[in-house]
Amino acid sequence: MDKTIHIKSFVYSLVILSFFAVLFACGQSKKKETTPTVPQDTSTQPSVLSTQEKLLFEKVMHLHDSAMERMGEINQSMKQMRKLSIDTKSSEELKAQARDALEKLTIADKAMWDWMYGFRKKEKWNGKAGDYINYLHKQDSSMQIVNESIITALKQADQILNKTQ
Amino acid sequence: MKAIAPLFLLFIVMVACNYNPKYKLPIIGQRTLENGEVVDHVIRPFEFVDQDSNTVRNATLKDKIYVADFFFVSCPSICPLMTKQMLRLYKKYKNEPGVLFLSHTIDPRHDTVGRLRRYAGKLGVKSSKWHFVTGERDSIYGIAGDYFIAVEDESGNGDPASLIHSGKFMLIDGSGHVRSYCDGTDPKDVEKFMFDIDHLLQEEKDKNAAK
Repeated sequence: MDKTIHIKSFVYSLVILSFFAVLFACGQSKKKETTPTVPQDTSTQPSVLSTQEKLLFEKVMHLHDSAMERMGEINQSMKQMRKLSIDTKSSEELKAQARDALEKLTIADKAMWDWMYGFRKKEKWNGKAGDYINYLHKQDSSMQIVNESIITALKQADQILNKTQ
Repeated sequence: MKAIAPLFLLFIVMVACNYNPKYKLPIIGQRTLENGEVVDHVIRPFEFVDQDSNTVRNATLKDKIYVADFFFVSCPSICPLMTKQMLRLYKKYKNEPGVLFLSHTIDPRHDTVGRLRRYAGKLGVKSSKWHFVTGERDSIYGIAGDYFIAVEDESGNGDPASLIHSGKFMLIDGSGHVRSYCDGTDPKDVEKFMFDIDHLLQEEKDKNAAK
């Protein structure tokens, strides 16, 4: 009987000790890691947005992200078109097509970076209160145009590349 | 039974802290055969300019481990999330001289040295610890290919260049090998990444001590 009580209290003490050991060993550093001071401009979803603004903001961002995914491809295609446009093995017709495609790619690329440079989150936007929704609508339209130009330019470059293969 | 109590406690602590002394991070990326020797994937020589107009090259990071990412100041979507997570890492390792941070802008036309300096200033970080670098566009995309081709081999996500806006953080050892990576927009993934940083830091310290 005494022995059973002794074992039980030993196991109980072991569990308590383990708990404190774990807290002591790992708790301190994790606390420090999870409480950073983050500057305001690193927030991605401004809390100042109304529900309608938030929905539209997310729509614009979704479109932006899908266009952004293709920027690596744009860069790659630009390099390929540049190479084709000066390649001595290319026909004059192919060189001209490559130059045209390169120009379209360059315009689409520039339009994308300029759009992002010009885009303002609400906390940095200087327009009239209540007009931010109109601003987002305009940004949505212009992002759609940029996205289209990226798709068209990439398609044109792909067609030229296919001819050379 | 009393004799095993300290061992049991040690075991609990090691499991809880995810500590495994034998664990070694793999070298990520395809191996190649050069002059009859198998060579691991390594980040090519580079030269960029940071927010203080200082040149950052491979030698700047030699014998240190570093976390690299790709961002741009006006990025409205994932970069703010990445910066928030990178700041977590910075705060954890800011007093650890063996760890550096290297953020490459992918918009060198707008992200001038001055703009990068203002950005770093807003974050309140030391330029000797966290380099925000810019350079020729082709050089930036070229080095991105070096980092991401390693990641791409593992994840099978296709074109390495498409990962330039993927939000990945990559961990590089003192010899220029990619040793780990994580999703820089996911706090839980970054939490796990910290264990990898700790392990690699210890490995690098052991290596430097043995020199």
